[in-house]
Amino acid sequence: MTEISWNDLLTSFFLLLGLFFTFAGTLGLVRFPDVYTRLQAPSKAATLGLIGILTASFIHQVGTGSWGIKQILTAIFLFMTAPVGAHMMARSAFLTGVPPVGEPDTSEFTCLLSSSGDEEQDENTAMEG
Amino acid sequence: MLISIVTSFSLFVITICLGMCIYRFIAGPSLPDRVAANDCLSTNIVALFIILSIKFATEVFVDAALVIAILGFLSSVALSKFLIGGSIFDRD
Repeated sequence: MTEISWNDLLTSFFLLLGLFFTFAGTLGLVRFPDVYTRLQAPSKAATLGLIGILTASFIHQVGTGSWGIKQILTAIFLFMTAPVGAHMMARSAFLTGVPPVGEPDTSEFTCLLSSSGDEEQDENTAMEG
Repeated sequence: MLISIVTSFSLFVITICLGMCIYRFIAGPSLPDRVAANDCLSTNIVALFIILSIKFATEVFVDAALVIAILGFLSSVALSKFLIGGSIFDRD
């Protein structure tokens, strides 16, 4: 058995950490009962899991003598875009009328539906005018 | 040696995750389910490429991972806006 360096140990630790979060998020995508809860789990997988795996790749890259700028760039991009994508998907699910499980109170969000209805009314009045 | 074993195990688990995403993509009861499965699929493919870059100790897979991350985000936003209004770009 050869000696194990600290670089390999840190890389393996962060890789297994990110792998756990990725697997848990994908399992949530399969097992949760609803569109909205299904959207919640892979967002955590996209941030925490991929940040762990990118940290492992960054440490491995730094150990070989390079800088590893691209891993940091990918991590920043994922931190910016994962909540935006999850919000857009949940908004499209609500506006296309996918029912949530358990009948929660969605009275705060019906303004989205009425605003889209107002746009149609405005188009109708513009056509009438 | 340790890196080789850990990355092989990681590739095995990521392959199982890809299979679960494809199951949700096929069996999703509504269209936003399939969009969420598409987003999760692109996320898992990014993870696959990063693990391959660790396993083969090269830097070229990270470029492909960055491009796939951008394409996954753009496809999610475009499909969501298409599901809402039927048009991707708002023409006001």
